[in-house]
Amino acid sequence: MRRALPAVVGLCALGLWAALSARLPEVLLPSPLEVARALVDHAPRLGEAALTTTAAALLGLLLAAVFGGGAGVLFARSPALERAFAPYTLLLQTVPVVAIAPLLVVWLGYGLKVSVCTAALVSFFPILTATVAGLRATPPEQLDLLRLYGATELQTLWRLRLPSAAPFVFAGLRSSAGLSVIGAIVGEFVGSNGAPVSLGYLVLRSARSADTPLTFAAIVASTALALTLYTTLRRLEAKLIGAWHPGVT
Amino acid sequence: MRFDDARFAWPSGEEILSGLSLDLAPGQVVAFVGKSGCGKSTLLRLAAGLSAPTGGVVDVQGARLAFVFQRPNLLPWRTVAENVALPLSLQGAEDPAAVAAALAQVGLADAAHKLPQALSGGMQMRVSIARALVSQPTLLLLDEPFSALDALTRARLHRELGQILDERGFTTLLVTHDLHEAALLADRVVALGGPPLRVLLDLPVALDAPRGRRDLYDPRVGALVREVRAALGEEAEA
Repeated sequence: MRRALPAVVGLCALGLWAALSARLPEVLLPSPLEVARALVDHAPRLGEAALTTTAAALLGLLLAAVFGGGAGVLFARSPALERAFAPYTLLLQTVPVVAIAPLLVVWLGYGLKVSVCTAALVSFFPILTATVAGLRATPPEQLDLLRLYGATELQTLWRLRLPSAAPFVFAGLRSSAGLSVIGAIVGEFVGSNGAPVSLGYLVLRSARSADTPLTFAAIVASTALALTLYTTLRRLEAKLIGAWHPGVT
Repeated sequence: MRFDDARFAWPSGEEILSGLSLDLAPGQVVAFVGKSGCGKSTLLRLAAGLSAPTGGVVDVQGARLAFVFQRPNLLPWRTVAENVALPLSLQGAEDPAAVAAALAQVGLADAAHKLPQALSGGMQMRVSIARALVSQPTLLLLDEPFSALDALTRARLHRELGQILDERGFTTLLVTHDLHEAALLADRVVALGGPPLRVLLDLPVALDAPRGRRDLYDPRVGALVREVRAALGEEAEA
């Protein structure tokens, strides 16, 4: 029953979509069948585009993890540092990435670099806040234990604070996984000239040329990519910390 | 070790210790009993160096310390053996034989590769005791270590810890609410009042080692428990 219910909702949505598309021109709303046909017909191109977008999203996520996680460690260690930089990190989160992307094209030129940067920008903040929250949530009794046995700051960080913060960091990474795909596609809207082809570029070009089935197919591929990233991280989390963290299955 | 006019106050000004003086002979097991919030745990934290006195002296005379907390306080991502090895590995003095010996002493040699959550509460507490033993302490600090356990497990751990204390002979400070636990494990019972913390009564326990459950029915234990209860103002409940 637990699995059947979402499947029923999904089938209902597909039925509604099919019924609506029968009453509207294909350029406005293609039928699910036409979208499936576009997925098959354009499979090689969609695959190549998905690879480019995956690379941008993953590299962006990696950069966000390194810099967001690093900044999180520094902020958790020094409240003064956090006070000094928090407004500016918040600025990164609040300035729309769509507004920054054209500026990145001016600075970096067309290509993957822009979409990697936009992916990193939108992924940075959730990882930063999750890391700070995780590091600050270390149980005081465990901190006492390490102090008692003369642990250095580095030992405390490495052997206690970081493992203890891992569930928080994974939660941040999972939130950022979907965002990184959105960030990469926004970057591709502005900074991709089609070489290499990317999902953002395909969405934009196909919409401009009224090839709506391909637009939908690219959107489906983008959603599948975000879901794959999320579930991969979930599995990695289960493998690394699932044995001792009850929230992970 | 000794407390010499030791004082401690929170930054808010609330005074927990206002000039406590106490001497502990080497190898002596001293039980501190008193009502919740009187400052017993603060006394242990001062002895452990986890809190600094705001006045006076707390002198542990270079003792090697080990602390058993109210909860097992194990790191869930480390196996039982890795948890026990923690004090040694932090000092860069890995010693798998010492870890195995400590685990054997608490009867958990077979659980070395398990994660803590695979163990019962009583077994986790025994791991916590093994972790305290592995560093060969000269001063053992026990902060209500059995308060969260069921009666049967508590009785078994009393027996096991009693044997370990008899064999190893380290100076021990035990904070407990359980007067019978104090009588079974300690050479001396100190009843505390407060805050600010003050000594209400300081009595020797005149029982021979090793002690067991049958000693709970010894008239001397009954007398000691009554005297401490009276000092703590609990005579009516006795």
